[in-house]
Amino acid sequence: MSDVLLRIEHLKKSYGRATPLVDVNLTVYAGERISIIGPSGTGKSTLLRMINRMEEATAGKIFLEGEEITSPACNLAHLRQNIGMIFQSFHLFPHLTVIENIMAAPMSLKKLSRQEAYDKAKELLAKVGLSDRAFGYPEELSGGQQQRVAIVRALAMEPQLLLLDEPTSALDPTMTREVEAVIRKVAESGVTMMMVTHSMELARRASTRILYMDGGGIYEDGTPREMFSSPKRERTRQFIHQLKVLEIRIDSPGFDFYGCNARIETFCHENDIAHSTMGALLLLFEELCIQLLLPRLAEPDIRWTAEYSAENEQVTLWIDYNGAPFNIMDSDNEIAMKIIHGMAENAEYRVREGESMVNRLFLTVRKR
Amino acid sequence: MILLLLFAINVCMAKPMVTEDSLAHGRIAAWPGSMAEKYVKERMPGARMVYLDTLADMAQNLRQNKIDAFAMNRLLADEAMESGQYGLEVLGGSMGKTSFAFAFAPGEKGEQLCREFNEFLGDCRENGKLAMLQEKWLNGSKEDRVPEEFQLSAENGTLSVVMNPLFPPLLYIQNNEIVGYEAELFRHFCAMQGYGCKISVASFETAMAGVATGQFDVGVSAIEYLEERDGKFLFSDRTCEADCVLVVRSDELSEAGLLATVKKRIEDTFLVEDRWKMFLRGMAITLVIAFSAAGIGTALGFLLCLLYQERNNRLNCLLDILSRLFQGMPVVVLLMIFYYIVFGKWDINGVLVAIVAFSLLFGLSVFDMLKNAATAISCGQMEGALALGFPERQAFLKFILPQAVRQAFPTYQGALVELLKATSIVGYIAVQDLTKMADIVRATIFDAFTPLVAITALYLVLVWLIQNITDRIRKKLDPKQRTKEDILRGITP
Repeated sequence: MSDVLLRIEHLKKSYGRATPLVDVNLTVYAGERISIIGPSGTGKSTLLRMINRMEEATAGKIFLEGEEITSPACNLAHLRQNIGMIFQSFHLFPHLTVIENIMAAPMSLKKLSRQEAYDKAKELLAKVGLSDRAFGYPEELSGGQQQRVAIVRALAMEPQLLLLDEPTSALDPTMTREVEAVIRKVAESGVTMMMVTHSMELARRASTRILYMDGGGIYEDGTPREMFSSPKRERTRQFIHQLKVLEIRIDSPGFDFYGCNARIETFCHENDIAHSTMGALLLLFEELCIQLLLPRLAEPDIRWTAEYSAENEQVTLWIDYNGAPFNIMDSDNEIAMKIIHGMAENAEYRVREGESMVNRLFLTVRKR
Repeated sequence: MILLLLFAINVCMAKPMVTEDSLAHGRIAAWPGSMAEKYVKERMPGARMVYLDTLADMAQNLRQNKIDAFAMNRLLADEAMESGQYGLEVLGGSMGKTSFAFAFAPGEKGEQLCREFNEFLGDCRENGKLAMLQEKWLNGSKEDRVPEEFQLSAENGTLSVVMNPLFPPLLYIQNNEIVGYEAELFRHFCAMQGYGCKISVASFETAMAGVATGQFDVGVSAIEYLEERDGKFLFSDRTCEADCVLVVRSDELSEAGLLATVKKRIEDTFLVEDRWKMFLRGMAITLVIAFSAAGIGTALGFLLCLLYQERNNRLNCLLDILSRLFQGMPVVVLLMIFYYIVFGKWDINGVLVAIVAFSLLFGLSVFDMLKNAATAISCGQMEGALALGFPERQAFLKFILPQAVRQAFPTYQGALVELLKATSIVGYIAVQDLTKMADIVRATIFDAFTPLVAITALYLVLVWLIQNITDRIRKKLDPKQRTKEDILRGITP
């Protein structure tokens, strides 16, 4: 592996009561192209913005090439000149032409002559296919073109690290593709990149490494192949396959049965699950939990989980329960078993040693 | 067209008759706190008092049937009636006497001056000089009123005198000069004692307040001697005396036709005694105040805006409070506070005070405009510039401010016009701007319409001028007006 460019140690960020980032640790090597994915509100953008100190860390340290940039002594302007940043809404200067937008920082901050800055800007614009828009104003460009100009503007400073904060989120599909193509091209040029994105396609194709963020930190870290084909952890898998999950916990015989039914119905409506599948889910819940499990458990503790994959319109169920190891599918309740087999397939029972809910049963709800 | 129509209505206004009976419960105008007011209240307790400041206002109100009569000393009333066409006449005889005096500032210097003046007055009475002056200005014909030339040496210092020259024949403007019985009497006094004389022109109230606070050494302003007034300043011995009379509308109407009347009024307003020069002088003063305040205020606004960016909490809090305080205050109050309180003890020109006050006010409003525009722009633009590595101050100057200026410019244009119009109140602090000059002309010729229309037109021209200049600047500010050559300056593509 090449040199370490960036090292993040025990980074924490709180706003008032909310703490989106609890403990983030990360090492980035020069030349890596990292995509950060994960649900909203998990602090992905916040992490990115703390790297160029657009936001201050609550605790923890960040080192760029071994130098601590979270220290108060760090020269912010100088730091940011080395770290380019692309925003969701471009932030081009509307009163300057495209070429002036690109020339401004190299001239003022790197003391390039007008001619040098101009030549460089022209060269970069040509690379993103915008040579003939050099003397246009940002408002005359499409969103995709504006974002490409923003990328060129950042690259003109020859940054060590390029941060992209949801670069395609404000764009429609056509424009998204043109910007993604440019980002991939930039990625191939070898600049170190960290990008927050909601586009799995872009993450898969433009990066060498994927970070899945959830639960206040980096939940899983891997290559695009590992993360997209065989994610190791549960929530990563759910996120990548765009899975929707409903979890019902039953911890007493007198639990709210009708309330649980209502939750199942709401879950189905919210996720556009077929009506017949909803009927099956309700029946399966009643047969498995009420008819079969509850009578067998003196002090019941049951977790009933339904997982819906929008990708293949498939509902998977798994039921975890306490008590001595036993498979409820071995029941002699014929009516119940008949209903269950009619609604579900691929039943698979497993004993989970060391867990309080020692039994786990998998089922796939049949499609109709 | 509309103006002509207004003019016709103004000239041909019907004038209903007044009888003595109707006066008992009628509307009668007088100077507030004058002897005339006192006499009216004694003789006609049922009458409603209307307080007007100048003789011209009274004549105008009477002509337009807004009042039924006014009470005035005979000296001034005669003058109003002599302007003929207005159809005024004296009703009945004298209601009582009133007398005039000069007012000196309280304090040692004032007492000294007052004593000197009284001695001088006594001498004049004995050697017949006073009788001669009274004959010339008060009793004689208008042709004889030729002001005497004085060369004041100022060997014993210069007196600061405040005058309100709206009271012919005591004190008025003729050929762009303050003349009249009181003016000449005062100049004789100055010549005799070796004083120079620096004249400020102000309304009656301003003059009185100015003398009472010691801003002026002496007030020569057709001041009636009243016991109640004694004490606030020092009254000299009486300089002359007159009867108080009631003036009402007469049924005689102007014989002249509409066109002749219009011609006469225009001549009176502009040509007689070269009065157009007064309008020009007033316009110059208005322009000096407005343009200086605009220039200084704009610079101040930018400076404050830059200071505000430093995010010093205490300073910003102070700026916010100041800007609310100044903008929440009537401009005329602010102006008077500056004149009487802040600069009260200094001998400072009213024009300077006006420039200072309006500059501050305009500066704060420019600051407000820029601040609001910058806040509206800031978020994303600032973020973009900071992320590129610009230090905050540089980012503000280079990217935020130019956009804020452009965004705030239409508001700024409006504020400039407001500023010009707001300067019309400087008459309150003894500055003779365009509006004040129109007031003076109005009082001199007993016609309100023509001078007011004249300054309306002049203000419109100035507003047009401001809008024209600023529109050009606005076009210059539009970055899209730049050509490709401008952008490529110093670059070989």
